[in-house]
Amino acid sequence: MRAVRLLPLLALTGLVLVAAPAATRPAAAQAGEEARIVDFDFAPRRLTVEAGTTVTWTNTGQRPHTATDRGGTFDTKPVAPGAKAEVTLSTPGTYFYFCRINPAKMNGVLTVEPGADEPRAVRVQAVDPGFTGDKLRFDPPELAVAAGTTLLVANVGGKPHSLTADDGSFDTGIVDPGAEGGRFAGRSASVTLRQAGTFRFHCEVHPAAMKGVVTVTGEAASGGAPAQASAGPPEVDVGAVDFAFEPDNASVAAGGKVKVTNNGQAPHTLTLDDVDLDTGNLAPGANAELTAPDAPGSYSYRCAVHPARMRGVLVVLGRDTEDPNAQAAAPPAAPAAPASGGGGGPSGGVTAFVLAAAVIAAFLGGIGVSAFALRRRAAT
Amino acid sequence: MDVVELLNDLTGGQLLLWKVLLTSVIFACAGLQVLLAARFYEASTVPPISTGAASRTHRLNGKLTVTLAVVVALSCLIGPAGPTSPTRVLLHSVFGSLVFALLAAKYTALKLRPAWGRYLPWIGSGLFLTFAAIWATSVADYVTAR
Repeated sequence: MRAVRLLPLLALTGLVLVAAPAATRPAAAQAGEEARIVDFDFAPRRLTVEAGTTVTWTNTGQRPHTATDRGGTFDTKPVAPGAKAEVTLSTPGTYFYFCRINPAKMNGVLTVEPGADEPRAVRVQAVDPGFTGDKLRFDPPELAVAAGTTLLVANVGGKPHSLTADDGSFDTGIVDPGAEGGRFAGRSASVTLRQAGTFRFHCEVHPAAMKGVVTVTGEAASGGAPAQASAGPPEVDVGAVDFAFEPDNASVAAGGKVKVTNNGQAPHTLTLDDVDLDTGNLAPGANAELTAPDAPGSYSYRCAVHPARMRGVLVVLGRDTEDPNAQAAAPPAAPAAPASGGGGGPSGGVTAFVLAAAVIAAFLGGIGVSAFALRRRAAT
Repeated sequence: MDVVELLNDLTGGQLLLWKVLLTSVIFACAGLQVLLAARFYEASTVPPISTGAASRTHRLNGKLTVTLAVVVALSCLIGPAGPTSPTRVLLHSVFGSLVFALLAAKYTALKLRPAWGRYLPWIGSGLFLTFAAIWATSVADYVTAR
């Protein structure tokens, strides 16, 4: 009986013994582009790659997850268990990314280092305690770039920020954070530095805490052409059917046109969550046109009539902003063995086991509870 | 050391799958507990074993069930615990807390307040039903979600 009393202790001891070798195991080598998504983490959490590298995330968990830039420049969309998603990043800098389905638990850091060529754009993150618990700062606070380089300023926190030169020579304007204090991906903005010199900059909203300096060398090419034109299409068609958007992830250039057509039998709307853009009710067959926001970033949208089932993300592309939907179009790997009802679900063996366990539990427990209840009735 | 990372390493990235399987085992064990209790309270003749054997098996099975429940509950608390939305997750948290409240009541009745012994069948039945609710708000969603 003593051994029985010690059972919980023995079980916990066994768990610790099994865990010990794993705890001393070295972290996975950060070879570059291969990474895993597990329930509820990224492995590795920190990844350093060279500009132009394609990062492939494989979801080895049992739930769909995303790898989404907190600054809104890439979003894998939900990756089903067993599937893969790829993102190619050409702009050097640090990327705080997260799973927008499990934003509190799943956070990672992707560092993109410059390649052999001089970068035409560099990323600067505006960080605050918002959702990551960090302190107010620019990341990095000091930069050295060639004239003509574009600074892509990503708000990865929960408060509004700007990147404004102390002498007023450049200013991103206010860059909005993600909705709900950083619960969702934030926005990004860009400025192109053409004049050589050393420029101190600050955040107009937090001038005391957020400061930095950028050193610009050389001379920009005459004509002042932008570093790179937006790769986004000037217009995009989004269809509303019963009950989904087609596509549910669309990309468009900043200020581009979003043409919405109701191809279903029920009334629908396309309503953006974070900005005041709404088609209003569209009768079956009707269409409407919206003008995309000027600020690059990811904007979630929904049908106000069927908000639970009809949702999507509109990616507004700016300069040097990767198109996550173009990356997501790459053929994903075959998903895990499908469940009886659909792809990506648990295997049939698991389903059978848990259902059998439930039937056994209900049968045994039902007899027991019934016996008590019947005895009680007989006693009374 | 990150515990969630460790647990994911231990389970080959299949932490949720293991929790689903263990929760199902716990649910089955909880059903067996009520049946065994009914036997040694002589409210039932099933299973056809002596009341002494039923009592010993009940204790052994109870320790196994509680140990597994603690392991699963800890992995929930250090992992995805916290959200109160959607309602299913909120209910799962409520039932998960209720299980340990009922266990505390049971141990109190057993060790500290023998006079409460007459409530033990109802506390045990409540435990079984709460385990059923936990299963329904987690495993059932897991196998039907996608």
